[in-house]
Amino acid sequence: MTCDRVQSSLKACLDREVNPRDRAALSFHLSRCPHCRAEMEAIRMASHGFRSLSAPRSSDETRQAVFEAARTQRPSPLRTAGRRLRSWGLALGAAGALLVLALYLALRPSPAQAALARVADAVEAVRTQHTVMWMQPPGGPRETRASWYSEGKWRMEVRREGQLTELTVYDGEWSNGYNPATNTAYLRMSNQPFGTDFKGFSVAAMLESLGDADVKLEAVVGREGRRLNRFSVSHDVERFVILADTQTDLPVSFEFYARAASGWEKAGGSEKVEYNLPVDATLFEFTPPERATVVDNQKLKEEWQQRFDQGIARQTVAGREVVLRDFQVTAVGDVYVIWTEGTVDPHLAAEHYDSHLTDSLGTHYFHSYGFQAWGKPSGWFVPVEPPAGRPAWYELTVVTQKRDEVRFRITHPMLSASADPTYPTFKDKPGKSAFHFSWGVYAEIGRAQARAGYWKKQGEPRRALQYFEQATALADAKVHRTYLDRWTWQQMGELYEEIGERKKAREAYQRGLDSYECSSNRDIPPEKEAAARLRAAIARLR
Amino acid sequence: MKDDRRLIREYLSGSDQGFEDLYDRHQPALFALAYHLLGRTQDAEDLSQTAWLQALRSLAMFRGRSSFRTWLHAIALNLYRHQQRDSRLKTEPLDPRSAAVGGDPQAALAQREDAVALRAALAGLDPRHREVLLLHEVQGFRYREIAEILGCPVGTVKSRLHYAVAALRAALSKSSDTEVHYDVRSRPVESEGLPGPRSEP
Repeated sequence: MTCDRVQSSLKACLDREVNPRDRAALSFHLSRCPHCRAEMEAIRMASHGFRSLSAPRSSDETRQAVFEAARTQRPSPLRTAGRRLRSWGLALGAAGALLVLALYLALRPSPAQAALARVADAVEAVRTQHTVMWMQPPGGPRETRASWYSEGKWRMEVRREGQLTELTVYDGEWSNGYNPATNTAYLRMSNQPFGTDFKGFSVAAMLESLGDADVKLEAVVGREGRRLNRFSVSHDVERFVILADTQTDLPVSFEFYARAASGWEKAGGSEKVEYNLPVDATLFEFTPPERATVVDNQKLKEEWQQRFDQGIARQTVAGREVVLRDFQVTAVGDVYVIWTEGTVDPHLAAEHYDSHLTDSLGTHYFHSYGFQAWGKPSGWFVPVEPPAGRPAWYELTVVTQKRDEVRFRITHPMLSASADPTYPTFKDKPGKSAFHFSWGVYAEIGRAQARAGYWKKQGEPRRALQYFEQATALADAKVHRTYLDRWTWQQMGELYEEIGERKKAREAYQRGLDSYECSSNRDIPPEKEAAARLRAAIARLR
Repeated sequence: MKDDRRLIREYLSGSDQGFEDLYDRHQPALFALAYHLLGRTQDAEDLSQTAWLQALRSLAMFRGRSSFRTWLHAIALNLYRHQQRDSRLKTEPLDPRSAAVGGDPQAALAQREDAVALRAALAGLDPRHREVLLLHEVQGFRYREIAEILGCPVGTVKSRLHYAVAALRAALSKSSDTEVHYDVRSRPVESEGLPGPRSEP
């Protein structure tokens, strides 16, 4: 990715409006490019000010006036439509009516969209639902997802090779989960099931997540005495095929496809789809297994707020108070830090990436991009080599928005039991959450990439390759073959060439080309040029 | 919590409570948008009230393809655009400070020092940039929802926001030119021993 291309996507990236693959590419570019990081911080700060914007409360008079209208002018579907048509007819006359008709024809959804909308409505109206589907992105692991729905309650079980890997139960108020790998149960109050953007496993939710998809009603097929509409919904790098009963409009099966280098590759599909059958109510009850570690997000939130308000340490420089709010060390030695300074000042671009960290063992940390905490200056520091032990102290140098330096020495950091930091979810504060673009395996990959980038810059190709290989092995085994972007593979190819490994270099370039073919960026000119260079390199090494 | 479509169905089938719940759920955000667009409390009351009345008239036609919140905001924004078009010749440019100094105690309370510069910068922006920034940054709409509200492709929202932020930054940096720049470097000091976290259980 070029700096121009990255910068035009920075706002969308901060807003989490880019797809994971592009996000990973952006993240990696940012970890190497101080100029783009500075630009990103400036954009982030420009958005900060909006938190200070508040509005007065609307008056009771307005409320009463609207309620009065609601009581006296309650519409009914037929009456409203009739009245509208009559008023249009009267106002516009015959010519006008034709214009209205032409407009209606131009604006109405296509027959395929309208038919699919009926499917969405039918699914929304079901009382209960039970779906089992399998998913396997190209080259990634196969998993099975079983879900049950009844009256606003959900249960989802994810299995890999028959083993439960994830359980989530939403009872309308609490969204609770269990991770058998870590034997941890998570309790979380929520007005939505599962994640923040989850809308349900319905076709409507799927369509919503697809946005401006290309919808086609491909055929009407017969199966077991039923007539089924076959829909194809394509969107950039994904494609769905849905078979829906023409009588009930309910889908009887569906399939997912992912874009692969050779075209669409099947990546999942339904094994069982049932509607309106009785569902055992106990499925929606959640009891943490005995001896499981229970993480109560509500409690965590309160503790977090208290800790955050109190701060760990504070110093004043040039009339501005800098407060260290959070300092967490994860089980793999990564350090997550949040600090604040003065009041939020949207006028100033911060230089957070000049901030750095050292420790008593002399560890060299790479300040990696990809972590945001409640819009506060923050940092994800990755040791460039896995740490040998637990340091006695850390020293953090914070560069303020006015470019003053403040140093903190931390002797008792909070320790996270896992490789990820421990943060509560603030669902009641939209837009205010701590996240890093990579979590779990994505963080592992990001960490390996960051280390590889560091050692490449240090002129140590073998060490860099060791981490790149770690990143690619993780992506292949746990995510999918095309998760890593063209750029990563290109870097690897260059490094292999540097150490004389021509065959490996060619393979890396080929995989870079595969990633490019599956990328939603493949029509962008700089990416096209990069792909041409990859093809040339492959030809040269043949 | 009942979802919006259910509240609408209840209202259409005779329950006033359904509508009242719907109003209480969405009016604060709608009013905030109107207030930030217009800068005056009374204008915001008028715009949000008109939007609700129009929504009421069309409620039976609401098919739920987009969320009610998106639909309601689209109505308000359309009204706002019509209003701006009609009154372009007789109104003055939006004054960012008018709400704070206009003698409206509620507005004055709401106005915070931090927000003054931002309001000034927003007021100077191209209206299309102002709209998209408010919809995203204040109302918290996703790009796809903004595209629905404005009736444009998602890509347009993305690029419009990109340019809007650039314009906002330029406006903000202009207003901060008068700031004093400090040139003091602090010495490293030990943390002052404030009670901090020790370890996880």
